[in-house]
Amino acid sequence: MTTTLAYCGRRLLQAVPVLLGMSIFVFALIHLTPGDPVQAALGLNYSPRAAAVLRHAMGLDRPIVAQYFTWLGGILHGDFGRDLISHQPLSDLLAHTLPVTLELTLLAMGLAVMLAIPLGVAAARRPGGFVDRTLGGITLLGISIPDFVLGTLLILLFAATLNWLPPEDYVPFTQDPLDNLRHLILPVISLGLAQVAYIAQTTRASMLEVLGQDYIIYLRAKGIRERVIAYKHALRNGALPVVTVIGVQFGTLLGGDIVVENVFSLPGVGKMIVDAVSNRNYPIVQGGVLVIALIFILVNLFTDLLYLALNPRLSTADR
Amino acid sequence: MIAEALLEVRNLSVRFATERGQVQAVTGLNLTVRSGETLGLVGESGCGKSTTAMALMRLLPRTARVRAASLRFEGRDLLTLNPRELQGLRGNRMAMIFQNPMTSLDPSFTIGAQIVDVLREHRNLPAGAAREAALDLLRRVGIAAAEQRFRAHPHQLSGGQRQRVVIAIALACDPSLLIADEPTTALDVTIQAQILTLLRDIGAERHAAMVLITHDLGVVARMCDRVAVMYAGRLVEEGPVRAIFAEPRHPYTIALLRSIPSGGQARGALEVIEGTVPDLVNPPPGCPFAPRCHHRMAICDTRMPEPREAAPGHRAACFLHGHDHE
Amino acid sequence: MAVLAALPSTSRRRSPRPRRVGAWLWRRRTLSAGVALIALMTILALAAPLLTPYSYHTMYYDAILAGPSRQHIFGTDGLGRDVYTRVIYSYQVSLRVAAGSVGLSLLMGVPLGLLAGYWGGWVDAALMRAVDLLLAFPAILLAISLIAILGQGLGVMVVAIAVVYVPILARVLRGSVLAVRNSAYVEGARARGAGHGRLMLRHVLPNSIGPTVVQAALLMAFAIQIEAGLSFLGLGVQPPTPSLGYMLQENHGYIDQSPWSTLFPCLAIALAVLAFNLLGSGLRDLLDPRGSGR
Repeated sequence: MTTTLAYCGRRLLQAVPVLLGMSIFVFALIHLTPGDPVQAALGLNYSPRAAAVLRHAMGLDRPIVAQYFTWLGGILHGDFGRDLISHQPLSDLLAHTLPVTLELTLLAMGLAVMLAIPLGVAAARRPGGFVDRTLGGITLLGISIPDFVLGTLLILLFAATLNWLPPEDYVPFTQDPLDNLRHLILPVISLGLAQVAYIAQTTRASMLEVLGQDYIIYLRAKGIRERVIAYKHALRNGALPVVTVIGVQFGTLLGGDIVVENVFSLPGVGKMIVDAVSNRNYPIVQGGVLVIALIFILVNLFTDLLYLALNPRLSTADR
Repeated sequence: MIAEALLEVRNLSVRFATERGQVQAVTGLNLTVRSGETLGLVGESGCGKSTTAMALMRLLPRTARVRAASLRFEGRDLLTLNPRELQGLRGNRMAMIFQNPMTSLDPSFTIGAQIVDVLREHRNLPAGAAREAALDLLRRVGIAAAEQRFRAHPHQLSGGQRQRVVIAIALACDPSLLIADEPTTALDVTIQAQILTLLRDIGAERHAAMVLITHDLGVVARMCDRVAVMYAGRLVEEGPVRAIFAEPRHPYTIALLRSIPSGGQARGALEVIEGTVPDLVNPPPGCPFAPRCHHRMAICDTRMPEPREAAPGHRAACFLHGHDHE
Repeated sequence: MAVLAALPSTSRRRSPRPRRVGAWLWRRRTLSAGVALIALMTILALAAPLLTPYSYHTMYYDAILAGPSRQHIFGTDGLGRDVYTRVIYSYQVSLRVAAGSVGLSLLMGVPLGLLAGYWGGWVDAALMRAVDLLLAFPAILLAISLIAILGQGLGVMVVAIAVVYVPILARVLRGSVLAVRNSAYVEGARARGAGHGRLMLRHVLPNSIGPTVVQAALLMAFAIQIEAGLSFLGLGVQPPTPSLGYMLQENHGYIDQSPWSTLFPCLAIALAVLAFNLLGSGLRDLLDPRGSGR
């Protein structure tokens, strides 16, 4: 048990420099972006004296390192900065947009995993068979059609032509669960298809390797049923690469969120960031990027802990 | 004592499709195993003994073509059973032990779980009873601190211990036939003797028949009642252990026995059998051992000798014995 | 694998050695298909003025959002511009971004990976730490951040994507270099007195570049996706230069009225990405035919 805690502790410690590096990068964003925030804030009311006052009030005349720590301190207290134009605290904005992005991402990944793993296992059990070849076809489509292109095509087909599903907008879950899901079907499929391809292929490859191992034949010699061998034993032993790829693909998924949210006009973090870039609303860009980076790091941490659970060698001492 | 044979194999042949062509791994094999007896299956690497074992358990991959006039176990024809029925037999009535204990066990599950699952699959025991039975088995095979080991993972055990676990699993459901494919080859010499003794004791205790596959004639001498010698996929000699060792009939068996270094040989070259095994893709006609045989005759290159009785209960596939010269 | 080692290895019989070039190409049909498609796209892009009947910004007010017809084989968009022409010209942008970004990242990433793998030690550790940091970001987010700093346009996009790719390529190369560094022929060359530079360039690099080339091809496919995505968001290539992504954005509002104006750019993007994926896949099969999987 102590080795488990030690491993957890080590991973957490390793995450800290990554987080710090991330925060420095994000902070550097605002200081490298062109344009003077003070000027943007004052607009027509600009005068050197007003600028100096505002600059002091915003803390922009202090040394950069001090500004960084103030900013960091603010983050740790939940103050992510303010919208340059509307002066709304970013935390408020995030409270509205984060749930949307999270729902979209979790649904897409969840759906992808639920489809991909059985597909990969089935394909590995009969290489060259029907499922395997179908998977090959899906893979080709999945990796060749970018998520937002697929989204556009789906809108074309199901919304514009067939009129079965809505092409855009978002309805909160608390307001109308069914409608919420209706609006999310197309975005989730757009994001999920490529993930199904990657995850299923990885599952297939991993399973093929595991199924070639001696202990699988031995399990058959014990008279264990094939299905149990495939889903209980083989999958368990072949899970590591699959978990890895799910963790990595989460990052891709978060990136894909950004564009897909724009295609379907979903008011999530991605759309928030893009709008902010166009409007030169840098605090929003900063905060949004930081939030997404945080999510990604947390997912990675979770993935690592999952490793631990799956690989008995890490948590117990080797003889 | 004319009991029906536990395992009866008639004219078994196994063929594989490989990159180089069709490989005839086993041809025309006839074997009989009676309950309680230990049959040794000897031969050098590649002679088809492991293939035969796998064929008996119907564990060969789909790319292998297995044909036999009959393959009967406990009175049932293994060739006609469907996968479900076969699966019910394996681990239950017939069990197998493999050569490499380091790779036989599932690394992700505990030792205890792996014994329990075979008990629950075939005996349908509730969890508690299965656990008790598993612990008993662990103790019987000589694993100290059984409760702790029960919760351990395979990588926490040594090779010898793992092989004991494998034996425990194999015997869990009291099979009537145990096939052991080189069970001690991958173990330290000091452990080998222990494991073999364990196998012999447990086998006798439970009246299980055993097919012991090995290339080590010393093991055969110690453990087996009868022995069958294979060469290039064929059975070349078969008989009671004493008879084979005292009066080997087939030239290959003779050469094998001669090539064992004996303690008395302080100096001198080791006896070797010149030549190499034949190509199984394009086997030459006639006796497969002919090119290397000191007693080679003209007929040996053209006709295949069938196993014939050279003495009661002792067969040899050689034109020197029991054949009418045609 | 003791049990399986006792059995002869099985596989399907290999087909007899082909004599015609056609058969050779057919066996590597993934690679052939990819190369053929890319060649097609390159020709289209380079010869654009010759192959297109119109210019890409002329607006035909009497044929707005028209479907495919003899005058406009892909139809027209919301401003009456010929879609076919714009698609062809957009390929210029796509290919330039793909080649430019990957080329630039190879320029920076190959030396980095080579040095890290060859020297090892703290150079390697520091480099890989930095790479880890960079890889923690979703690629497109990083690109967006850089664009936010540097502004919009083709050049910035190429640089942004290149920066994102450098760690990936460096890491792949480093892995291969680590494997090759200690092999017999490198040792042999060193014994013959080759200096580090010569060793690295003449012996280590050519033998370890394979997987990096495969990765580069796949990254070109991804670059086209990123370019399209960024242009779709309005953060990439700016009008009047046509871009497939931007065309999707422009015509998104007209989806109800005319599916064609969005359909053809979608297909064009998918085709381009597919082409480079096939190239990468085919190269991978070529360089490592014993690889696991299909």
